[in-house]
Amino acid sequence: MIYVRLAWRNLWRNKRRTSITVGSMFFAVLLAIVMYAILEGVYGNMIRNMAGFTTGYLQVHSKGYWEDKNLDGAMHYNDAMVEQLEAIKGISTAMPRVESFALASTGISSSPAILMGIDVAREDRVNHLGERTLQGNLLAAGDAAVMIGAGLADKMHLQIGDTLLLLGQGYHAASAYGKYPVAAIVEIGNPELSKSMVYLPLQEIQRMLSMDGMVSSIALMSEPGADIDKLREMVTKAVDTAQYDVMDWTAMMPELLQTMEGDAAGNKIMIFILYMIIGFGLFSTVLMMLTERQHELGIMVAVGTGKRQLAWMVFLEVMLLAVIGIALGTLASLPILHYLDRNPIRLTGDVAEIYASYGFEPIMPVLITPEIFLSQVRIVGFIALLVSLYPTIKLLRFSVMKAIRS
Amino acid sequence: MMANVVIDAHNLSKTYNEGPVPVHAVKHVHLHIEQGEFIALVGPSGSGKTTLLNMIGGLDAPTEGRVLIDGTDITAMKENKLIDFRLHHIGFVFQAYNLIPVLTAEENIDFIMLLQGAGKAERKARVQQLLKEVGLEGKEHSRPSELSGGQQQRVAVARALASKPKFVLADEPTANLDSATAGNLLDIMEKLNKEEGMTFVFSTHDPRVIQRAHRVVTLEDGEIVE
Amino acid sequence: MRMMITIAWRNIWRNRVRSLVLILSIVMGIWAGAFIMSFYWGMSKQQVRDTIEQNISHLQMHHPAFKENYDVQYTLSSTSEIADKLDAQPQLKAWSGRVMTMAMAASANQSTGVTLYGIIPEQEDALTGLAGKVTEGNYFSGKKNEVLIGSKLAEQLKIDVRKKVICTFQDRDGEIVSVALRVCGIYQTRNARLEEGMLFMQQSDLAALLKTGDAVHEMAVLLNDETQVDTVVHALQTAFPAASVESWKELSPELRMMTESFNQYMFIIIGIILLALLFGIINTMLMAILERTRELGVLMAVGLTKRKVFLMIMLETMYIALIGGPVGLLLSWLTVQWTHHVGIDLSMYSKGLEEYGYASMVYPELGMASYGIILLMVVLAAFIASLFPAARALKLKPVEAIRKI
Repeated sequence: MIYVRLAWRNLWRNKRRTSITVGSMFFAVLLAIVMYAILEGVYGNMIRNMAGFTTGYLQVHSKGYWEDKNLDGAMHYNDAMVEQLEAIKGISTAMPRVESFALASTGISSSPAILMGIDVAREDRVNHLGERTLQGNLLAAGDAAVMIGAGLADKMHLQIGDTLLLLGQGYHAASAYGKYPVAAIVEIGNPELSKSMVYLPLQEIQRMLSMDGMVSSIALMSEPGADIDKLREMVTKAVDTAQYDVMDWTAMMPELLQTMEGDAAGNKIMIFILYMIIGFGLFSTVLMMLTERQHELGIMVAVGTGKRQLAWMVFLEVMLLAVIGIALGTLASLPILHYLDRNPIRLTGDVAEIYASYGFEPIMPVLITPEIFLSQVRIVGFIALLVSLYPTIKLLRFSVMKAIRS
Repeated sequence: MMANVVIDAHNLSKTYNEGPVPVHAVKHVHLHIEQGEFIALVGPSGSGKTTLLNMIGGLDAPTEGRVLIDGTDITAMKENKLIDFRLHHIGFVFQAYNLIPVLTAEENIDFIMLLQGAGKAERKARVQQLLKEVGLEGKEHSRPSELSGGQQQRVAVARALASKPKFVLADEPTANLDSATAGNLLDIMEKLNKEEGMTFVFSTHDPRVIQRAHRVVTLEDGEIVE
Repeated sequence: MRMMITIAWRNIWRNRVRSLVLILSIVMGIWAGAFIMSFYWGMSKQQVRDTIEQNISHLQMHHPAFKENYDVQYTLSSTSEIADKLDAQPQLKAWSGRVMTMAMAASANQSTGVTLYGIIPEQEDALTGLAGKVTEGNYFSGKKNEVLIGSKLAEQLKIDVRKKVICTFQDRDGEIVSVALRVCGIYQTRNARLEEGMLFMQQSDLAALLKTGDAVHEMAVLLNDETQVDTVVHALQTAFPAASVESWKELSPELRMMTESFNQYMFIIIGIILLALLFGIINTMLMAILERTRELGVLMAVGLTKRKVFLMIMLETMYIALIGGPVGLLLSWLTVQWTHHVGIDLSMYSKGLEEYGYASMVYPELGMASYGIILLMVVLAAFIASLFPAARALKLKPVEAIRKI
């Protein structure tokens, strides 16, 4: 342990140089942690948004249903099934849904609509439909009425109480016809969904589409930050795989995954460049430390210190620099992350519009997971290891006489 | 004929207040140095000889007293003016690190003259002459790292003379040299003193220098003793 | 002065390895930074070009109320006058008039919401090259009630060429209309999102069903010279005050923002890189000065003014940057030239890219102005970096420096 003490004191012989080197790592680590937290937050939000309203994080449906999403591939369901799925650890809500298309018409104007039969209570829990209700009241399970997206309401000039006609195709291509009053207008983030969403209580849509006791799918939502792969395995174990498929959102919306990965890749490359530069700086410092201590190191060896111990000591110096840099960077990031957690960055102007046009809320929330810290530890640790190779090799090949004479 | 007093140090004192106890490096020193002198300030370490030399050269400001160089009072001069004064009127030779390592011998001397604003032809001629006087013809294009300690000091002397100063201050110039080289260096400086009338003021505790000095001023605990 | 330049230059090479490490870090940082910018710019430019050529064109004209709800009654009045005026425009490359309605498209198994476009086949083809995108079947032959559908939609509805698709929509008077259209061909574009929703049929067929007569809902125009867009938009707006004339920038704010915010993005990226480099530069230069304390002391004793010492340190720092920066930019330029020629294949991400309309091959490019800006930023950063070490050198007092000898 004497070597740790030696290494530490050696670092502080040149306070300025050590401080600047540590400062550079501090800067990179801090930037990286905050950036990763924001990325995870923004993506997490996007996924939650998209998945919540459309596919769910995981979905249970009839085998083969996903290929054509035809009502004919609907599945039988009952309350027991829903409860069983919700009992799985990590699943927060199971939402049975019926999905279909219909032409919505007021007699004066008409528009294609996505018909969604929902378990209102559960759907409200996940997507906060109650909070998003701009006008009117949230449906009750037994109601024979619809809730429509604000975009659709605008488009067709619909008000609470107006009647909406729905023309669609039911189970086994039976033609389906419904006439319902508008009970509520709901704000749905994604403008395209907002312009086409029509919600009905499950019982009502089952009646309209002639599919009692059946649903298109059961969408499953999880706790934030949950491991999707593990969950999928657990759900698969819980259902009869001869009859049902279990898919996760990455399989159902691969474009979303790829878009996010592509975007993240861009940011990660930036961080990579940053660390590369820091690595050079670290190397330069180590170089300077070595050359100016030639004489002293020579004396140490002459007096009895083995070359291995010498190399170990310098290795420790490099690692200590890294450790201090990571520690300080991480510590500094905590208050910043805490602040951003309470006050996420709100986007304004053009950028906000762009976000909105893709259906995402224009905020940048943070998601704080252990991984964002661990990944920096790994990267900086790796760089330090790499840099320490040079002095280690040089010291093991050290010529004592040459050193003493310098 | 009254010799010209080129350095007039009047009641010079220097006190350092850096630590808990104030250090009186130089105490009420009076010193007159005339043109053409070859004088050594001697004393053990801590006697104040270097401090006195620095004050004469305008490198250090006295706590008390005045320094007049050829009639000009440099004690209260502003820094920039002082730098300019040193450039034109005082030559320095230090114990080590005299030369700019990245310039050749020739360029080192040339540089000082450039700073003074001398013309190209003038510089070229003088550089050649000076290198000859210190016996380093042929070493014009050598960098300090390629010269021996003695040769480096000789270039330093040449450079000190480049500006035709009123006098040359040398602080322990022979400390790093062996006997033969030191003797050599002193020969050159004595020659310059005799032939050109250049005033040399040494601060030293090297007996080889003290032997050759024409006047010796002994300092002990910051005061001149006889 | 010239001496100072020489001295500063030679000083850098006194510690060759240390200087080279620093220069190398600058080279790598700038190389990477400039290349990333060229990647992003190449993508943006292509995105703009593609979107204009295949989707929104340079400008579009509508009835002002049409875009709100896509209500079919809001056709462009004076359609024929507009057509004439457009034909008379010298900068015009192509234009297409479209009749549009939202509809339900149903096959035997499925139904989904779509947008039905009534087009004049040759016109539309001249504008977007639609005929060339047909991968199965044929472009319009002139038979009644033919329809062209996107491959993604064909997949979804599970229909093929020569099969029928039933479209239901409301006509001008609000009556529900249902029509069976026969698929004459299937087309494929790079933008899946668009494909899913667009069906093309002959204008005469659709106009008859909608009862909209000769008028169209949308006029899309492509120009020869894209710099003329604003002028033409202005001219058309003046000539037809009742219509709404929009350029591609207004039609697609994302696109406009992407190009306009490029410089901002570059400042941030290069700025961060330079900030990281700053640590290394300051550290190295400080070392270089502090180990020269005595030498600098002697220089100041001998007659070098403080200004000159400051200048010398500054020059040394600038040299390092002026070697590293341009070399990095040169390497970057070479890389851009090569990758622009060869293209970078992003097919790993292709599905996601296509969904949002990006091509999966990227051709990086970067304007000379951008290289210039980066170089300027490097010089500025070097200047700022040099201030601290140079100021530090000034704080040295000759006396103290010399006392150390």
